[in-house]
Amino acid sequence: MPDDEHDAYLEERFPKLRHGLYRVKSPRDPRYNCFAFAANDTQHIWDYTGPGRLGGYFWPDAVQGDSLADFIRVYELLGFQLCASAELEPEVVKLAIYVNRDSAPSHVARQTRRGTWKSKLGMRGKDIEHASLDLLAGDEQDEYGRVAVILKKRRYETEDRED
Amino acid sequence: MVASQLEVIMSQVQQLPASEQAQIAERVLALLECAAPPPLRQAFAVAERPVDELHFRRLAEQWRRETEHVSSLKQACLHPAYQRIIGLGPAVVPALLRELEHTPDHWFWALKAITDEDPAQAEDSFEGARRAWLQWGRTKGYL
Repeated sequence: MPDDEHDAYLEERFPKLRHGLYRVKSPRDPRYNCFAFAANDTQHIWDYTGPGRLGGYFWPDAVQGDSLADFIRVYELLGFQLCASAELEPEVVKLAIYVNRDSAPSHVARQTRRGTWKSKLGMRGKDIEHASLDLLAGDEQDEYGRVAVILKKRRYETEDRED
Repeated sequence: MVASQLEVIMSQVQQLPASEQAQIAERVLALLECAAPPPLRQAFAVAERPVDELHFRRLAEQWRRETEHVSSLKQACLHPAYQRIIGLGPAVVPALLRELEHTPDHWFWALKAITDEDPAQAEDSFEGARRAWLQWGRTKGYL
């Protein structure tokens, strides 16, 4: 992975990026978040906004909550299932769900065809490709806590072609 | 006829400093009673307690800076700066809508909390919700 697109602000907010391989893949964009991006959706913001539902956000009707179990259920609806390892496997796509100190889901990253990971940072930040999950983990600045769960499903030929 | 004259006056009043707007709006409201259509009365009611634009912008900038990489809407909207913006009440609605128009961001939560309306409820995309709220703002006379 080329390491020629460093971003000083991102490295301040995610200190492990200073010493890790990553590259910026897109400008800031408020129209999608990491939960959607992990499902290859860049047109919606996926988030649970309560039983009254707030316009402008997407969340499956079948899931009523935003706990870790609820997030797993959301991705299960897309065909993902729990998995023990984040290692690259042929024809398999993996997701990593991070949780914060309160065990609330804080981020989801998606594995590329090369075994690196891609992440949309927050609800309005940039997309990046990063060499490992550790680069966004931790409790400093904007870091996302720890990886709690890995999910996997078969990667179809049409998915992640840009990887 | 009266309503159109009031609209002209309102547009002129909006060019004045906030403190003068408040004084004039207070007098006009007393005169208006029920003579003006609801959107116009609402516009004057908002001008009655003008929000400090600079204060709002500082809070908005703080919120953006400190939640840029937060993925959860709930977590972002519970940020103290965002809650203080909601606390500014109906007077901040025009500023929120202008912000949504020129620097799109996640103001839907605040707008719904303040107005108790959600013209974007049928929308599941950011752009769809943004369009719905801006249309709502124009209909109400806020934009």
